[in-house]
Amino acid sequence: MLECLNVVKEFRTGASRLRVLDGLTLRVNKGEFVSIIGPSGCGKSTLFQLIGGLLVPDAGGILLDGRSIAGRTGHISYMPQHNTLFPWRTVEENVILALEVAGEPRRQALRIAREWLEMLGLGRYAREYPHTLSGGMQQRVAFLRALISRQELMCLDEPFGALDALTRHDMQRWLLDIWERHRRTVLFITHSIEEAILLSDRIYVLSDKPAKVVGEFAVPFPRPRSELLPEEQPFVRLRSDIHRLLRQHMEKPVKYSGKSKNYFL
Amino acid sequence: MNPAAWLARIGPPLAAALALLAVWELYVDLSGIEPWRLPAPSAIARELAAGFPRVWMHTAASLKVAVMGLASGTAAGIALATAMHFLFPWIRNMFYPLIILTQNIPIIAIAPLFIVWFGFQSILPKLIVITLVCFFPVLVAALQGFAYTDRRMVNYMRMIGASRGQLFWKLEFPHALPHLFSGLKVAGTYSMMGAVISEWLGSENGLGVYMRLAQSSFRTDRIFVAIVMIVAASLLFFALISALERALVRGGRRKE
Repeated sequence: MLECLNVVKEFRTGASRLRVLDGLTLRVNKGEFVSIIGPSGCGKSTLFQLIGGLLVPDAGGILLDGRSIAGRTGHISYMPQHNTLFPWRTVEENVILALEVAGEPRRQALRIAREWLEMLGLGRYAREYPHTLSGGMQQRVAFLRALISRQELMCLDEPFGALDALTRHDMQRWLLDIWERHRRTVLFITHSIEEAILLSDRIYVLSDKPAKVVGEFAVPFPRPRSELLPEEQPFVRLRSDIHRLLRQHMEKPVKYSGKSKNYFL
Repeated sequence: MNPAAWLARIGPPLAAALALLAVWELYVDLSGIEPWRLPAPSAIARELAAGFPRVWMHTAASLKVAVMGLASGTAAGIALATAMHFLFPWIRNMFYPLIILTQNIPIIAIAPLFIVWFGFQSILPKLIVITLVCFFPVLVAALQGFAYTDRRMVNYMRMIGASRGQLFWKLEFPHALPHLFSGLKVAGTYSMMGAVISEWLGSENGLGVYMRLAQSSFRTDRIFVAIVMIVAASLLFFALISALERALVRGGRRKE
């Protein structure tokens, strides 16, 4: 179980300070799928870097199963937005990367990877190099790489953000299907409200920078979730509720204040 | 590559070279220039065939020392780059100017020093010169390769808990390989040049010695024979290094 308690993070550039996270609190229970939605650039990725241990919070705590993991790497499994498959490794060699880093013997890791690739219908790509695969296929491989790593918590950072709408829809169904069968603990960043509702048990809505949680929604729809769910009334209502809340906390339109004249000196 | 594609690539430069040789041959024929000033290509070819055993003996000596120097230069370049990459930036900043300095001193100026220190017959002065020439392109290419590693991949590796060593061997080093090979191709060409220069300055055999003897007896045709051998050797190095690159650099990164 993951808990972020009053997490504050500021970036200092010279004398100026930019507060990115302003007392953010959230929790993800074991076996739960939780999404985070917020305006783009609101600090969602900073949050993942904090949970991943690449950054250290200025205040507040980050706990995994009750123990602090602030500033400590290697406790989560991670799937980034952009393709980070290694081009010199075949698909199966990419899939085992996290296991290799964890010290699993290569032969055994490869066996596990091949089983999973077969199971997910990707078996025929096992020996291919990533550049021969489509964007959607590459993200499937990246997802599997995160899925088979030993860490219980999976952090997915806008994993479908760079895909076209059709592929994205396929990927959502694919992910939903796998997740409903395997139930890992997932923290999912997205900027698509519909995607969040379709996949999650719970949704946190973040405000613009400095980000804090401005709303929390439980998603009551039973699983397995149907293809037609997005057309049903309760789904549509929830979507517009979240949308309204998100709009309220978006950055106000930038107005010229006259204070920026130093800029030209 | 199929024969037709190969011909399409090799054809145009080959035609240009042949045309150049034809013009050269014709010029020598028509102008009646003395052979010791400019021998005709046909005369150079005849000399190459006639004196081949002797030329080959010198070429083999040069090749041997060039390969050894290239190997030690490459090893030194990779080792130094790895060390500098792992160490703190201030140590890197301290040593980088020194390393550049080794490239600013002309080989002609330092090679005689090594000959004085290690002797005329020893292979060591030649090896040191070639190593000095070869390690630099490898070092710079490797450092660049390490430095340009995709930040998102580095972040990914650190997030999932990779140690510094794992980060290097699983990401930074394979990522730098294509860069390393472009440095190696430059070093391969330099190695033959370094061998010839160091032999010219003092050695018992090698193409450098052969050239010096040819020059002092006004055997211009032999100087050209030596040039032909040096070019052939450099091309061979390039081809071998390219073949090694194709074997070692995997996946969709060859065209970088």
